[in-house]
Amino acid sequence: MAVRVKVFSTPTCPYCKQAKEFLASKGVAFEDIDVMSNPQGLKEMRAVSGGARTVPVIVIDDVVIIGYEETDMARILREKGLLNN
Amino acid sequence: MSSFPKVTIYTVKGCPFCDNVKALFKEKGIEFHEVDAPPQSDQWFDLVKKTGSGALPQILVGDEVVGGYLDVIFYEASGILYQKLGIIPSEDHRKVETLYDVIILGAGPAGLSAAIYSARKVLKTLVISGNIGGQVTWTYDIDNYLGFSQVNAQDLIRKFKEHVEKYGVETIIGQEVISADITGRIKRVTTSDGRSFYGKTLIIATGGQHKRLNIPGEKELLGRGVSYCSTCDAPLFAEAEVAVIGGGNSALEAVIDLIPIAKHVYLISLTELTGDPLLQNRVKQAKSVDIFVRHKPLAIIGKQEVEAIEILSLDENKTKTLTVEGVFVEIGIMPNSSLFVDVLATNEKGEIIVDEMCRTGVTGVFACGDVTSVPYKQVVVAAGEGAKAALSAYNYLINRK
Ligand SMILES: Cc1cc2nc3c(=O)[nH]c(=O)nc-3n(C[C@H](O)[C@H](O)[C@H](O)COP(=O)(O)OP(=O)(O)OC[C@H]3O[C@@H](n4cnc5c(N)ncnc54)[C@H](O)[C@@H]3O)c2cc1C
Repeated sequence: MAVRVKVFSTPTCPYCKQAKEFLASKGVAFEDIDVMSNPQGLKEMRAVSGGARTVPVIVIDDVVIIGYEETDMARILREKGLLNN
Repeated sequence: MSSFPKVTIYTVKGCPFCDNVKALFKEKGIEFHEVDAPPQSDQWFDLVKKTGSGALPQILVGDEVVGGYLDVIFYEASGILYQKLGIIPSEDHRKVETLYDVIILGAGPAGLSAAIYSARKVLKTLVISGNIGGQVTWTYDIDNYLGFSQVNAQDLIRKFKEHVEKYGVETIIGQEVISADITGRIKRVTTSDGRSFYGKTLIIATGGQHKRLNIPGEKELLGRGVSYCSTCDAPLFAEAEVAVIGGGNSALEAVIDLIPIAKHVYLISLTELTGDPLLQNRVKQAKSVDIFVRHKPLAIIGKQEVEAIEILSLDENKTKTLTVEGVFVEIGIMPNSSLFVDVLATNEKGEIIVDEMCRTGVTGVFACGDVTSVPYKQVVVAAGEGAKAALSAYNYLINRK
């Protein structure tokens, strides 16, 4: 099955790390795109987010979240059936 | 219900507590009859005759005087109001509200530490917070917390959280508290989803947030060039011209983060630089940095994203526009005290002034951590203050009757 969650991040950003740790701890598969070393990824991030120049940008299917707030992300994952509790 | 409402509310236009009272009765589905009673009017003299007081609002149930807004909160939370109205609070009228011994606002180190002390005193405790961890979630490692020579910030928060959960403290996470009535015997706080919670005491541990410039363009272009986290977003500005606002250590560190990445960095400070001389030297020596001290940012300009920043020279009273793609705002932390500034004493920074027992001056209301005037904003200090606030709340509860 295709991975439905993408995290655009930089290696120095604590919120990105928290988002990734949260997903990993819940067993949600995700693709991590380091936009610092990957200019193509940065372009993609800015395209999907309507020009955001901040990390993390988290994409869950068709939903784009700019910034990380655990409760928001958990709610969307739950709505998408990606989180069981 | 009788055809004519039993509750009478005397009000006057433009009085916020009058609106609060009406909103409360509406929320609880209790009918009332409103009498507009501007001072010196016939209605007002009538009120004074009935109650002996001309204060507005005044609430009467039948002929019995309940008092003002704070009295209504107390009557409502304690159930007395429903007794007087002769109604059994049904699901529609009122879910039987829990009266907590302690409501703690904020789940940073201060609030969580308070929760542990409060729970261990077997006080019925509720923690309400936007998130868990507070400012600790903004950083990677904490190097100076007792017992850990270096600890990952995320792990430290997880440990705090597990510790609190072990005592079965009730928590509501992910909700902002949007209003608080704290001067009465019973404290009432309302969250952004419209629910209210009642407590005999309140511990304010709402910490701090990034200070804003409050200039045009800042809010509109947040995440589109405006950033409060240079460690996060600096790598997205490769080969760009950027501005850093501020003159203290966090601003200087942001410049140092940006030097190897950006094409050019403007450092803009309202005052002379105040950060460590060592950091100042590194910034001053960098070729790609221009420093504007005694300059005030006026506006951030851009349609879809940041295009420029306008600054004013305080000495020459001249404005200048710098072409930049990014603006990093690093002007410090401000206390999250805005809900309380009308009622509690605060210092010039907006920090809530507390005494050595974390008392605020309003009985039953305590404050701790970065939101207070206690100096040295550190995790270990916040945790210690949280413990003190909870013990003070406990002492207050056993001594009041
Ligand atoms: C980048 C950075 C690095 C740091 N590094 C260190 C370090 O290495 N060592 C150290 O000791 N200290 C460090 N500190 C300082 C330390 O993080 C703070 O002193 C500490 O977190 C303060 O704790 P607190 O509980 O008072 O407030 P906060 O941590 O600010 O927590 C406040 C909580 O209240 C909640 N809240 C606020 N308003 C509301 C509302 N209206 N409704 C609901 N909830 C609300 C917030 O969501 C948050 O959870 C650092 C701070 C920063 C910013």
